[in-house]
Amino acid sequence: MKFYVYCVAESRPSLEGIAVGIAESDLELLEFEGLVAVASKFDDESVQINRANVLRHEAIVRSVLTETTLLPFRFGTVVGEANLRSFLIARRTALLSRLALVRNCIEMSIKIIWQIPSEPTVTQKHERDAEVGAGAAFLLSKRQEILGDETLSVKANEIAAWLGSRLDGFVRQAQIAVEPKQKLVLAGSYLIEQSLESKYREQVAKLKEERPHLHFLTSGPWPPYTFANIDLEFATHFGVS
Amino acid sequence: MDSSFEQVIVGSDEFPGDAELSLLETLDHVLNRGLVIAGEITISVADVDLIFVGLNVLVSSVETAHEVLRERQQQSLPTSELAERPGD
Repeated sequence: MKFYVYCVAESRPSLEGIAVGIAESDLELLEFEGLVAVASKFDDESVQINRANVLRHEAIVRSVLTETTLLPFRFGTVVGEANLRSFLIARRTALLSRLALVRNCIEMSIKIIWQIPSEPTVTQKHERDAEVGAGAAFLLSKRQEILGDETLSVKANEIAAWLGSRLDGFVRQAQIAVEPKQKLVLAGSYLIEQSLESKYREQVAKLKEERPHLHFLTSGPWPPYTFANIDLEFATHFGVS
Repeated sequence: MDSSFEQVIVGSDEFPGDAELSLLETLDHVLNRGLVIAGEITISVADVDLIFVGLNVLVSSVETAHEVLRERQQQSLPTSELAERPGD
């Protein structure tokens, strides 16, 4: 018998108000050495990614979060009871450490979209080629490409530094991805204490006013999906790089 | 910038929302993040509209939605929920 697992919690939630899990199976609590996995039996070969299943996974995790501290599992985690027990017991220290990190916290997301400076048009390139010759044009083009990349990188990192400095004091931990060559130049996930949510929102509103040329996509509060994984602890504990 | 997309904030009282961007954000979190037990993810694709979910899709959706908003504004359709974008 396999289980679809939604999250691991530090205490037993009541599961009140939650109808059923994915595949219409009842929710169950599987407890191993003080860690409680919220799961439901799952007989199918695989979990279908569809709107209903994704929203149900999220709704169950969100509901459990109202009662206890948890680490959400990634969608589609189906595991036998023995493997689940083995995972939770073997990684217990790292999981407890993660639970302590996210306790009383929510995750907020900020994505920033910018207008990437455009490259020369085909006509402009032809004109340049005609002026300097093909060989020189190639070298100029490469030079422009390298300088352009550097400029983009500087600008993108400046945005990241600006955002980081303005959110300092609200954030317990952050994960930031900066992609200077992409329209989505920055994707940030922020772990903040629940009690600071309204102040964080006020601060983000100010940030939008400060940089009106940037598109902000903000969402949250989320269960701590981004901060749930224990790879980092595993690497730290075992010296894996 | 006063863009309606800045207001895509999913709160517990609003969930599940109908906004496509909210769904994409949900997918981004639920499918791309979370605790992983190595080798224990078992998924298959059912809905065509959810075949590929990534940040690029999110950006594309934003751009597409902007176009729709512009068209709506030009056609003077009810836009009470839409915010004006300076520079448009």
